[in-house]
Amino acid sequence: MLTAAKTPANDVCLLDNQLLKTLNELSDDPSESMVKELADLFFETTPPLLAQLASAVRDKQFDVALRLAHRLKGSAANIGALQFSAFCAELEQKIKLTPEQMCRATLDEINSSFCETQKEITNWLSLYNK
Amino acid sequence: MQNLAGNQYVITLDDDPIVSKIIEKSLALRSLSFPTITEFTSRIPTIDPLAVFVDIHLANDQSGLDIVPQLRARWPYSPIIVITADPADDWLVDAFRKGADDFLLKPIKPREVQARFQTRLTHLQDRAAKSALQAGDVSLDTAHRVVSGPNGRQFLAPVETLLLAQLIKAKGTVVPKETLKREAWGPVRVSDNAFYRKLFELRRALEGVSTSVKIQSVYGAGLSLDVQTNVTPMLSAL
Repeated sequence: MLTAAKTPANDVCLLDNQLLKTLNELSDDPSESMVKELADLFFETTPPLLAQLASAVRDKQFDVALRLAHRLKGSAANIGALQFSAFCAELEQKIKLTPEQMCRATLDEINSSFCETQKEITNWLSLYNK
Repeated sequence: MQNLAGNQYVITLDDDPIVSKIIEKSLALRSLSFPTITEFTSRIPTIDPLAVFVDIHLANDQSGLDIVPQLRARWPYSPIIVITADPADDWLVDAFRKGADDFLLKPIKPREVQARFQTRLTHLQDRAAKSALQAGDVSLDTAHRVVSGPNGRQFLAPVETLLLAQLIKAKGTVVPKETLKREAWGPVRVSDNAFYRKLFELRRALEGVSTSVKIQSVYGAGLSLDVQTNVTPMLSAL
């Protein structure tokens, strides 16, 4: 794994707790969590996109990588995954400059941030539902 | 058309299913979700949404903006709200030029969705009300170019719509032929033959929707719209 220098995205909060709270209030049925519904979609749709993103960076298909990074950035922001979204935004910027090494380092950060996000949202749900 | 009372819905064109879900919950309305323009386009003839939410950047390098002019023409009174993740997106300018009414920035905030949807819907419904003209049991929707009455509805050509709108606005008074020509064709010189051909088509369309509203020719003066009302004489009461 390539090590990346600390970037502004490292300092961004993992989750937007206020947004998660607002989203949960949209549920018609108090026993059903809106965040859970959205998180299930996010956890299901993100890994294949991350795999495609890694392939695109590896194969230097930077136009495809740019589109995927943009898509992931928006999707993460919608579920309050702030840091994950910030890393995707960072990758978008780096792709525009096309230094492959830097892209791969950010890609590792993105993958690691996704795992952290998954854990944190799951924790958030277990605390919220108590 | 699927827009029956109690069965109202919005459309979301976005490759991210999370967006459609948030919009649906924010508005408490069903959201029909389409990930690509192709899938959406094939359904357009059969649907009639309250509003359309369009992501600017779609999968496979498609731009949601490409479909905005078509949506504007099809649904002049349904808000079209574009979605983007970039606040400084130059695409927004293009979106407004193409007919979008408003925009949302990602992350999608439920209260913002509600506010923008309600504001745009109210504004466009006011405009829709102003574009409807009525004469007796016939109504003319100038935006969609549809005349309807108790016997059905007919689509009109643009010139026919302008002619009928002028006659309705005149409220039964006689409108000179030259005035009608000017209102319908503008500065273009039109032969009497072309004028009467359009008039023939318009009369035929009116006959298809109502038997009580007719275009009358007043020799040497022009044309008027004759609206027959069913007044029952109350002779027995006298």
